[in-house]
Order: sequence, then structure tokens, then C-alpha cells
Amino acid sequence: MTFEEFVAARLPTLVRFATALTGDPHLAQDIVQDVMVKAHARWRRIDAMDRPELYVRRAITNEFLSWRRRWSVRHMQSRADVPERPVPDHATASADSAEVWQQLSVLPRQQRVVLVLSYYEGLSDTEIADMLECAVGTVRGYRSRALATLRTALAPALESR
Amino acid sequence: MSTTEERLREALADYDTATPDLTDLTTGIATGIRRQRRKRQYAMVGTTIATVAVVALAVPFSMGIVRDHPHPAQKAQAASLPRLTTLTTKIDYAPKWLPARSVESERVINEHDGATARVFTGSARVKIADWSTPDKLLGHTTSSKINGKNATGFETDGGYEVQLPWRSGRWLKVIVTQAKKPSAIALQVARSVHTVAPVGIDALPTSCTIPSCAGRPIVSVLGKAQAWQVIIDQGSVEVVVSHAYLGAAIPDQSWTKTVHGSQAQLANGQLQVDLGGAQTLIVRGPDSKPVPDEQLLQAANSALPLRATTYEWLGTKP
Repeated sequence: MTFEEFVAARLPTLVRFATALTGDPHLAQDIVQDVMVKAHARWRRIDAMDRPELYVRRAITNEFLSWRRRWSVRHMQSRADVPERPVPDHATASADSAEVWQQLSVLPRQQRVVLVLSYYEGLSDTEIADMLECAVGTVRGYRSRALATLRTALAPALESR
Repeated sequence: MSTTEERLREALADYDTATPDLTDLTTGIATGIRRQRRKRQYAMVGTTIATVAVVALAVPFSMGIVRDHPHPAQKAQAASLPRLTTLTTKIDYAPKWLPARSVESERVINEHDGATARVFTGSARVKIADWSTPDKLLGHTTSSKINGKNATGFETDGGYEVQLPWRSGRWLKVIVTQAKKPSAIALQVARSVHTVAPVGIDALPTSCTIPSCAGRPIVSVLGKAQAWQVIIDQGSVEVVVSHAYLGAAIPDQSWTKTVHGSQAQLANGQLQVDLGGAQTLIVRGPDSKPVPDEQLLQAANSALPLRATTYEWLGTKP
């Protein structure tokens, strides 16, 4: 598969994945752009892999983790600064999603990555640990803390409904 | 499952239905690639300037190299080849069943760890590999028994892979792409793989003999018997010989060099020599890593002599 064919076939999926990671469509596209430009330079080797998309997804995750470090220096995000996302304002369910997204956006980046890989990509703890190059226990710790934070933050919203 | 987890899953699922507008992104990627090429070219100018001084000092040495290696058209007839003509790793497996019209289109031998692969193309593309480690599994997997072993199947980019332990500490992988039902084909091929008399990839068409080519190579031969490409990755440099094979296009901006009397073009970190007779030699850094021009030139000079080789096994049935 040529680089152009890969981009044509997989770009929408990769952008959705990056958007789930970042919660910000613009930042997601910036990250995907950076990763794809780098991937182009070594595409022949990537294409020779059995699963090129897995490599690119891993690169996007790593880019997000490092990008957020740079990003946070110049763009301190407050809880009120909710990232742009495709949320229709007419449905209760979507309003609920918006609330979840708002809380997700303020989680530490590793915790957020673990949640996205668990609940969006459907990966197991072992697979996530492989991807992030950390211990399985670390993955479980991130998820446990992230869910605890979300439960606490989302509880008042539930009660008010 | 807790309410929080359900709500989280639903919130994340919102993005599965969203179709992003990618117009700006595709334009941005194209612009980024052009900018990266320009940066590499600028970097190469700097490297070239720095190399001038080195080359000036090394002229006598270089002249010696040139005298040792006449024009490739003459040397192409030479029978003797330097080292690397024989690879020690052999491939000792073959499928008993393949999709219709399948013929062998590639063999890969990794001298580092003994990993090998055979690729067959026809109504589908089937890659059979013998590896020392399993692939990492992501997403949905399916388990089955193949010849008494636990096999795992999973979707790959545009295809399906089945992997299972076989032999001592080794893994068999069957990856099928370009097929309507890749999973069924992968399982059927995996069930049919059996041990056969070992085969290799025949003699290599060239050999790089400078010190940086001293590593054990990863060699891939692909194409057809009369139109092939051989990629020899030796860690520091990668030597590619093409014979009547669709080659890489020469970039617009390049620097012309002379290698063994033939015109060579140096651009974007690779040295390409048109040897005539539909034969092309490319020397570059692996993974597009920058390699000093001087090293590319030395590798190209040492990579000769070349000889016309026919890979009889390409295009045949196993």
C-alpha cells in the first residue's frame, strides 16, 4: 500500500482516534499531520510491517503525550475552557456526553490515554501496557484513579437531573 | 459495569459517527512533506560543503578505488563476487494450499535472528512468515486449533492474520490481504503449511564491502524472474539493486556524481546510479536516516561488481 493509499483509506479513522485522545478536533488534526509527515519519510519501512496502522496509532499516542507537555506550557486549559467537539445541543444524552467530555479534558494525559484505549479502542490492559511501554499495574492504576475522579465529578450532575 | 463507565463509553462513541472535514489536514500533510524535503536538501548542501574538504584530502584514495573498479557494464560480466553472495538462513516451509493463481513473489531472509518470509500473490496476497516473536494483539481476536496448536486470528490493515506457535520457540504467521474473505484464506493456508527441503534466495547481485556494511543483512528479493528488486539492509546503509523493475523516480533537485564512470544522482539522502541494461543501483540510509554523502559514495563504489542474475523461483508455485 502506498502512503497516498494509506492516507486516503485510514485518515478519517486516525483523526477520530486522535480526537478521542485530545478532545479537540483542531489539536487532533495538528497531531495527525505531524505524525503523517514523519511517517512519510520512512513509509517504505512502515509499509513493510504487518500492521502499519498500529504503528501510526502508537505514534499518534506518543505524539499526544509529548504534545500535551509542550501544549500545556503555552495553553493552560481551565475547566471552563471546554474543547470544541461535535455535540448537538438538543439531546439530553449528548448533553450528558458533553459533561463527560468536560471532565475527561481535565484528567492527566496518561489517565485520559488509558481511558480512550480501554473504552474507545477496546484494548486489554496488557495491550495498553505494551503500547505505553509500562507495567499492567500502572495501567490499572491510571484507570482506577481516572474513574474515581470522573465518578466524583459527575455525581453532582447526576443528582441535579 | 458502573454508570460512569457506561457514560464514558457512550461519550467516546460519539466520535465514531462523526465524519471530520479533512480538507485542511490533507493539504497540511502535503505541505509538511514538501517542507521536510526542502529541509533535507538544505541539510545535504551543508553536508556536501563539509564533505568537499574531506574529499579533497582523499583524492588519491578515491582514485585508487576507481582504478580498482572499472565501468559496471564491463564488471557486470564478472563471474566472481565478493562476500554476501551466500546467505546462511534457509526457508524450509511451504503451503500445500494457496488461493487460485498464486505464485511466489517475494522471499525475505533476516540473518540477524533467522526470521524468514515467503509471499505469494494471485487472487490474494499471502505472506507466510517464520518469526521468533509473536505479534502484539490489539482489538478483537479469534481463537482456533490448527494442527493441535492454539492459533489466534485478528484483523489487520485491509486483511487478516493468523499466528500460532510452531516448532521450538518459533511463531508461524499467515497474513492475507487483497482478498474478499481473508480470514478463511489465512486459516486454510495456515493449516496447510508443512516442512519442506530448505530453499534460499540464490546469489545476491551485489555486495557492499566497506566496514559499515559489515553487519548481518536483512535481504528481500521481490518481483518476477526477469524483473526483480533486491534490498540488502545492513544496518548502516541499504543497498538496492533493481533489474527491469519499476525504480524510484529521480528527484527534481539532485547533485550529479560519478560512480565507476557511470552518472549517479545524489538527492534526498540517497545515491542512485543508472547502470544501463535496465539495472539501477541505489544506496541510502535505512529508514531514511541521513548518511554522509561520502559514505554513500564509498558504499556504491564497493557495491560493485554487479552481475545479471535471474531468480528462477520468482513467479513459480511452491
